[in-house]
Amino acid sequence: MTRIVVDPGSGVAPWRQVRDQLVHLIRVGELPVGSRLPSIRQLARDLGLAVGTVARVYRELETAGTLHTARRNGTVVAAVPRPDTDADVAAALARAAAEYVTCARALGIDRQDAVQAVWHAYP
Amino acid sequence: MTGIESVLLHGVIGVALLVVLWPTRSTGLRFLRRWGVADPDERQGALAVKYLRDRRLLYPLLFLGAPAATALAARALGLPPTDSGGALRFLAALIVALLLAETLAALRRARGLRIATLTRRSRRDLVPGWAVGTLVALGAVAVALAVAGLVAQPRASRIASSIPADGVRRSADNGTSIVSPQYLAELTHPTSLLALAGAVAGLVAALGVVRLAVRRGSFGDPGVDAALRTRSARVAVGIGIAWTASMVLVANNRLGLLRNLDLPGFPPAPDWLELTSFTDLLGLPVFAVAVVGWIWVANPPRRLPYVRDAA
Repeated sequence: MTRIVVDPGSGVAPWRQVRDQLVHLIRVGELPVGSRLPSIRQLARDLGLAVGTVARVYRELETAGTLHTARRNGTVVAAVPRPDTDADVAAALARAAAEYVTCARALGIDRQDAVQAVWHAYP
Repeated sequence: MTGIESVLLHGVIGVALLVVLWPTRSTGLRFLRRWGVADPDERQGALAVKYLRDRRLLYPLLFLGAPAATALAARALGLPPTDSGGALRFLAALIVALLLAETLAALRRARGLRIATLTRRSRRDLVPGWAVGTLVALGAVAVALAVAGLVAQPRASRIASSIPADGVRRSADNGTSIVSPQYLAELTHPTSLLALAGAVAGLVAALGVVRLAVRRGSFGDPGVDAALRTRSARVAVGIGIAWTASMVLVANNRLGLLRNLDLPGFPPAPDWLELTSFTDLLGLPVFAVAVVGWIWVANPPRRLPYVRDAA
């Protein structure tokens, strides 16, 4: 059964984690087109998130054409999302880096140690 | 047995149950295997132990509270205190423990990593439709019998009120009938009302636990989470079947008493009440359904697709 994992301590906003994982699962085929997703309320309760947080993710992905919500069938995967453009990737990377730096600074870590941690974390 | 003695006895039974059923590491692993998790590890076993402990810790409190609650209710209704209905009180304590535990689990705030499966979850994943249908059908039968009893009650109350307290009544033709004080008290006992309230409350509680089992937040490990949801829902429906079947028997016995109330000098039972005599045949089938309900709870099927797919 396909699953999503949200780590509140990761420094990445929960809605972002949910969105990125959903997009990834759809792209790699684990959530094929036509798959029914859980309702917003069910996913929010299971992840311990506010309903509005999950609703935001579904709304964004619907706007992008990735998901489709029909009253009767609920939310289904409508299309595989287009690969991110170079600009999208750069923007996402910059966002992740900014969040990482914020976290490292809060922990009192200097630049050298922060970079070392990235080296070690990279597979 | 005095009220205090009864309360203490129930409390001791609740504590004894807790001690006998206190979950251990091996209990947790065995429990998960029984509920469809093929090869649980230590971490999963620990989650199961926590689930069982949270529920069983409620037993002494509820078993202690059940006789006190029924005594208070009896006093509020102006009824004499009774030691009867012990089995029903235990069932009631069990179903309240389930409902309370599921409610607390639903209100618990998530901590640490949150894991969710991306499959829509419904009641049908946890408990088969025929079981819920049986529960609702039994509840409906209990309600129907209780309502019939309520409609027939005024006649019994009129008869009881026209009999002197000593139970000796002289009819117009100078005949004498003697009615025992216990029978007089029985005639005015609001059994049908209690059966109606019991049936409705039991249905609401059992279906409430099922709803909470579907809707509550995730318990961490997806396989364990699926097993625990399934167990909560099935146990609630099983106990609910036994409970509503009991209410059918209580309401049916009451209806039989009202139907067979035939004292000289009083009008016979109305025709519609005579027509309910077929319900005398309900006892054995309903008892069989209650037993099957319990057996089905205690023995989950080998294959639980929802749990298998989640693990």
